Amino acid sequence: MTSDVQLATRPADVSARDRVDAAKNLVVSFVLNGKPLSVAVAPTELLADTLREGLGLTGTKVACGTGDCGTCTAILDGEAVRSCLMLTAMVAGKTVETIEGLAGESDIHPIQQAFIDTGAVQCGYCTPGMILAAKALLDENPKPSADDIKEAISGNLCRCTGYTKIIEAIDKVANAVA
Amino acid sequence: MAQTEFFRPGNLAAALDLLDQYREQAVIVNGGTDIVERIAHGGVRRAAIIYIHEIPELRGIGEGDGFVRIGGAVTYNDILASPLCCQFTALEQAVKEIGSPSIRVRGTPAGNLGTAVPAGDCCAAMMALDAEVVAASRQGERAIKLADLIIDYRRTALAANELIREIRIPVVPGGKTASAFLRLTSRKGQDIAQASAAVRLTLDGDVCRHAVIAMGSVSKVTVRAYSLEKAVAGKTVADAAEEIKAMVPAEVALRAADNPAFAARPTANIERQYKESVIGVIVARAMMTAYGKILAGEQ
Repeated sequence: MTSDVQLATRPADVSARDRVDAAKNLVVSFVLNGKPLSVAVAPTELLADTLREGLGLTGTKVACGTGDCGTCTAILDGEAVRSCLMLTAMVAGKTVETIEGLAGESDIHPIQQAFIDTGAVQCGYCTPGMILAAKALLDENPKPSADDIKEAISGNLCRCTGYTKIIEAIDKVANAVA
Repeated sequence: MAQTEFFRPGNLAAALDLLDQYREQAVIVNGGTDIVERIAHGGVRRAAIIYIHEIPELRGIGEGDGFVRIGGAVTYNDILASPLCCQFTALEQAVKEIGSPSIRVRGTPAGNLGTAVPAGDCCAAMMALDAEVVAASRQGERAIKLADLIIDYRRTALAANELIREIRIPVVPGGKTASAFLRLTSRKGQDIAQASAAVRLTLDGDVCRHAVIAMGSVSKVTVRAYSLEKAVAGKTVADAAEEIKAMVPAEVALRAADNPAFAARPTANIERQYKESVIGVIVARAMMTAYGKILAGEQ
């Protein structure tokens, strides 16, 4: 599907093997899931690749590689972003949260629990991105309306659930009796 | 080619120095929602990546000399949060349609203009609003009207050592003028326009005194629909809308003679017929929306 007037320049294959091969000569420091770290990356390296391949945090998924699907969602300084559209060098000095940062030592995060309780997980591939999009929303707006929830996850594609259970799960966390 | 270097200049002067030094060997990264993918996958390979998104001088929105001024690194979300910017209905409507929340938090109108693809929603909206950009280089600054900025598919009139420091939209006195943007997509969300139109309409009583009309996705660049502007002048809005609904504007350029790259696509003929049959309706609807805004007393 391309509706641009000319042929899309998007590469057909966005597998890691096709990525620009460059020396990891740039040290980038940022806070990841509450802990400061420095990592050596190539200047052209994607945040999604650094997370998955450099740091082994494979909870962040990559599906489309073009910013459309939301599986690579990470939270950058409180806002949900696409880690497939960010160079790691761009997050220097910033705070990044991934799905691995949500659970405590003994408990999973209430949003994660709500996804389980509500049956909002089927194949699971979209789930980390959905949960992070939900977290960014709830951190900013603890009592969102159904429309706020739909808007917040509007950039996250799920091909299994039809979204209903996902919206229910987020609503359940937001409207839980404290 | 030598190893790519990543630069994060802390101010505009430093960014312009780097651009002046690297010129064609530099790529500017702003919000990154378009260009990063091309850098990471090898479509764009340059000696220097110059990351300008956090330069303080590029982050402001203000007003002065009859313009609303939007800094080069202002994001779509910043636009939506700004009453100054949202007075331009066409801009607000276009920005709301772009990507998803995660794209709008990073992507920028200046990046949309600099990328210069025909489906760029901001390009059409800004063109109808008669916007211009301020291009800055070490040698100084110049203002460029949008129609002169976007010169070809993914090509702008910006020199290799220039960046978009600011976008300026002229403020038109309210009451008789309003704008609107409308696009047609295959899906409701997260899609790019099959055809889009932005209109700024100025009324004289019930008659179109002046309309500025821009169209997206019907040529290799965003285009002004001068033929439609001429056709609607002096008519009542209802008559004008009825007439342009059935028109294929002369500026639609999807045939082989105008646009060989488009015409070479296997589905080009079907797409062309589709776009030609809907664009008049899209423009007419955008015009009626702008008309409704005037009647409702909005700008």
